[in-house]
Order: sequence, then C-alpha cells, then structure tokens
Amino acid sequence: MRDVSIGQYYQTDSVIHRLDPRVKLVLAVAYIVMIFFIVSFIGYALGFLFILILVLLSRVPPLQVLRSLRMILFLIIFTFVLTVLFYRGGGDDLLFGWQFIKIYKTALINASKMALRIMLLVLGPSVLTLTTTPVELTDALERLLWPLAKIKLPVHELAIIMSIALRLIPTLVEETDKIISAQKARCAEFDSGNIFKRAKALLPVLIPLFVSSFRRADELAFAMDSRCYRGAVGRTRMKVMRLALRDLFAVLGFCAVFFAVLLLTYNWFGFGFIPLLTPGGY
Amino acid sequence: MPIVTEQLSYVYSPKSPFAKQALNGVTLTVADGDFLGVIGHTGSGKSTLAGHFNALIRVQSGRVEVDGIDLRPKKLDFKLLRSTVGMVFQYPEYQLFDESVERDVGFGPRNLKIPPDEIAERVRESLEMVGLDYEGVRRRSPFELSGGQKRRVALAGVLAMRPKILVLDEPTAGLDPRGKAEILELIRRVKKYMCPTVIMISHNMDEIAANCNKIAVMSGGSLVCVLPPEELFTRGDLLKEHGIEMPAVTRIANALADRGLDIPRSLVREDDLVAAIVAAKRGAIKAATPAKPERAQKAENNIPHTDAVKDAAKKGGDECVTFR
Repeated sequence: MRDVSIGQYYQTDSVIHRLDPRVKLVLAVAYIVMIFFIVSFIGYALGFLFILILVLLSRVPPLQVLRSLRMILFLIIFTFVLTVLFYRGGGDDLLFGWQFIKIYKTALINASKMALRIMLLVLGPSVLTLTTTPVELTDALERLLWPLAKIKLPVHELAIIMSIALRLIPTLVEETDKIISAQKARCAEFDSGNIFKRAKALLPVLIPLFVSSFRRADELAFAMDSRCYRGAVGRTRMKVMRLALRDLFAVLGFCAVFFAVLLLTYNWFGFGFIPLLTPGGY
Repeated sequence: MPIVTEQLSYVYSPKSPFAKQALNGVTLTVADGDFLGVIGHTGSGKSTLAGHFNALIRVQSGRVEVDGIDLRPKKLDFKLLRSTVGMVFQYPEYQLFDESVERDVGFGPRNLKIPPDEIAERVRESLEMVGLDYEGVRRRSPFELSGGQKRRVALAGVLAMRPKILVLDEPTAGLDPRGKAEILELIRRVKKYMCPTVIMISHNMDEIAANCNKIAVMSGGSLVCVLPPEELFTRGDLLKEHGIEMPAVTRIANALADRGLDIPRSLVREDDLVAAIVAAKRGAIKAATPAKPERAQKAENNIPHTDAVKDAAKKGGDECVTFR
C-alpha cells in the first residue's frame, strides 16, 4: 500500500524547493511542451542534462527520482517492443528478419526516442512533486486559475477539495493498513481464491474504511465550520506567494534550455555545428 | 512457555533514507498465566513488538517462539497462530463491518472453517463473556450500538477464536472512566475464565499497576526491564530516566509515608493501600492505648475517617492532587 506516491514530497531545503510553486507549475507545463520539440538524440541528451542539473540543485537523492521511472518501466518496455515489432515503414534498412518478425534500423531508432521521451515526460513532473508539497501545488493552481473565478467557476472550492483529498490520502493509507492488520488478526485472507473470492474478501476492509471516511469528513466539516470557514469570499492567506529574484533566474534558465532545444531542432540561423551534432538526422 | 523472544530487532523500510530502527535486541519471556503490561512512550516499539506475536510483523532478525511455534520460517500455519494469539488493536470498534453483531463476531471462526453450529455457540459464549445480552444484540447492526458496546463486540470478535494468549493495544483509549473500568473488569474476567495469558499495552499507569503482575518498560526500541509493579514503581531512578508516571495509589502511599504514616511505599493496588492505612492507624492506636486512654478513644473514633481516604483512593488521580 505504501507505493501510492502522490504525496511523494521529499523534505529538504534547496533552491528548487524554495521556488515559487506557481513558477514551478508553469515551467513544468512548458517543459512538457518542450519535450515534444526534441527530435534528435543530442536534444534528448540536453533534456537529460537539464533534469540532472535540476536534481542536483534540488538535493533530492537521484535514486529517489529514478524510483518514479520504476513504476512506468513496464510501459516503456511495452511501447519499445511494440514499436520495433510493428514498424512497417522503410524497406532498405532491415537489420534482422525471421518469418513475420522484421526489425528495421529506423524502427529501433524511433522506439529508442519514444522511450527517452516517456522517461523525460515522467522525470520532469516527478522533480516537481518531489520538491513541492501537494498543498503548495493546489494553492498555485488556485492562484493560476484565478481568472476563471470571474466567470463563476468555483476555483477556490475546487482547490480546497483537492487539497483536502490529497491531505487525506496518507491518512487513509495508514487507516487501511491498520484495518487490514486487524482483519488479518481474525484470520482473514486477502490473497487466495479466485477473483470473486478476493473481491469479497476485501469487504471487511472497505466497509470500515468507508465508515471512517464518512466520520472523518463529518468531523472535518465541523472543525471547518467552528473556525468560521465560509468559502473563498473575503479569505486571506497565511502564506502569501511572492515572486523572488530566483524565480526570474529559473524562468530565464528554462527559457535558455527551451531556446537551445528549438535551435537544435530548427537551426534558424543555419549554424554549421548543429548538423554535425545530429549526424544523419538522428 | 507461551512467548519467548530473543535478540529481536526490526527496522522499518530498511536500506532506504527512511529506515527506522523500531526494535533493538529485545529478549523477553512471557510465562503462562502472566498479565504482562507493556509501557513506554509513543514510538518506543511497543506496538511493533506486539505485532510480532501473531506474525503480522515478520521476524527480521532474532527469534520469536509463541506457544511452541517458531515464527521465523516464511511459511507458517497462520490460522493456528492467529487463533492462538488474539490481537485487539487500538480502537478495535473501527474494524466492525458485517450486517449483524452475530455475523461480525463470527467472522474469525468462519475464517477458521469451523462448523456453523459451533460458530453459533462460540458467538454466544464470547458475547456473554464481554457482558452483552446475546439475544438482545445478535441481530442488530454493529454500527447502531454505542461506543462502549461496539468495543465489546470487537473484543468478542477476537475472543470467538478462543485464543490462549490475548494481546491488547490500549484497550481503554478514548473511553470515559466508567467505560474504562468496565473494560478492565471484563479483561480480568476473560483472563480468569478463558484466556490465561494477557499482554496489555497502555499509557495509563493506574490500569497497569492494578492489573499486571509484570511490567515491561520499552524505550527507543529496547526493552529496559521487566519488573513486578511493586518493584518498578519504587525505582525512582527508572521512573525518572524513562519519564514514567507513578500510579495514583503509589503517589498517595508515598505522600502519606512522607507525612509520617507507617505504610510501605511500594503499594500499587487500592485494596492494599486501604488495608495498609487501616493497619497503620490501628497500630498507632494500639501503641497509644496503654499510655493515654483518652487520646486512644479519640483515635478510635478516627478510624471511620479511613473511609474518606478509601474514597480518595477510589477516585484516583484527581484526588491525589491534595496530597502533593
């Protein structure tokens, strides 16, 4: 149950942790866009270098970051194999052929690029979630979506629902562990029998979990009421987010990387060294 | 020898930045018929130790033997083990789930594949053992009972497996004084008639002192000592070092002894305290009688006052403030 890593925040103090969450969120979105502009291996190398620098700056142990890749390892392998096996493009660069299995060089290159792209897509946001608490993230989201409140979208309410939900995930996981232990102590078995039996075996866990979630929700509502919570209107913040100089540097740094990526892809100025970095268009 | 642990150590999430040593070389023996109290601050490893006794937490290093079963092998007869060691967790009422009290209590025995008519009998037996009216509650939903009743039903659910050893993790947490007294009474009854060996984790020294014959003190994952209450609560050095509170009865005894009453300081049970006070008063009277009959007469009249002391002792902690 401990693998539920939505709240995978890694507590430490670093310049990346201190960045304004709004800036981090916007940059994370821009980063994802950037990945799709990368076409060459040297571009991917640049992407990985960027991530490496971020991880080093954030003081999160690199193994912790790689852990997020472990979960999608299967997806990466699966897409790689499928792309290689079902590529039906070129005909002249056949590397290996046996009956209906044909492996082309172009397919291998495309599949590798796709795998690299998925890795980058996962690594970037996990740096974000490792260095930003879920509460900071929802706050940032609320602030960024503020214009939508003008057209009567309940932005604040959505944000508070999200932060409460995120806050309760670890609590519920802990609760689930406790209930599972208690039922196991009464000789409940969760890992035997067919699928229907197993689903039924979960009832003694799910029912108490539901009951306690309702109880918690009730108590929380009372607690919020008793502290005069009235929704967004007239509410001030304890932590006011202010942009600092480091946020400017972060934006500028990211823009530089984005620009480098675009340059590698489009070579607007016709630099001679760029084709050299991407031999054969790879 | 129902429970033996030897050099038992346990680390949560080993080989990770979050690794935490929860148990550190615990060697402990719990004999048949013991009522063992386990005390220690939050995070001292009490619950981790208890979790080992029915293999909810598996042995990492060291050895655990429960009722002759070695708990080290990966494959175990979990059903046998878990029906031998009944485990009652904190707030056990949160584990109730079934549509009726009867079915909920029968959950354990059903998992043990016991024939239906025997289950019915066990359910009746354990509901009566926890002081509930079998006919009155059996068809009711466990969710419509009161807090104290729910806890009893949860306890009955564990007793229905007829354990030989009962492990209780803070059985009185969150109950009012009356509910606490009732649950403790019930635990004493269970120990007497059903399940001879009881291990109780608690933060309440009054409960521990009044019921246990041995107390294990845990601190930072290590077992500090196992002592009978009379000895533990007179060891000022231990109490101070590990921040253990004295039970109200011992505090009263100490306060009275400080003021010159001739009673032992190691008293831990209310009845013993009252008896000691009465004896001390009588002794004082006897000593006084030959010399000054007049004062003795007065002292004799004073004896009923011991009732006031008895009341004070009964009320426990709140009253002893005046003695400090």
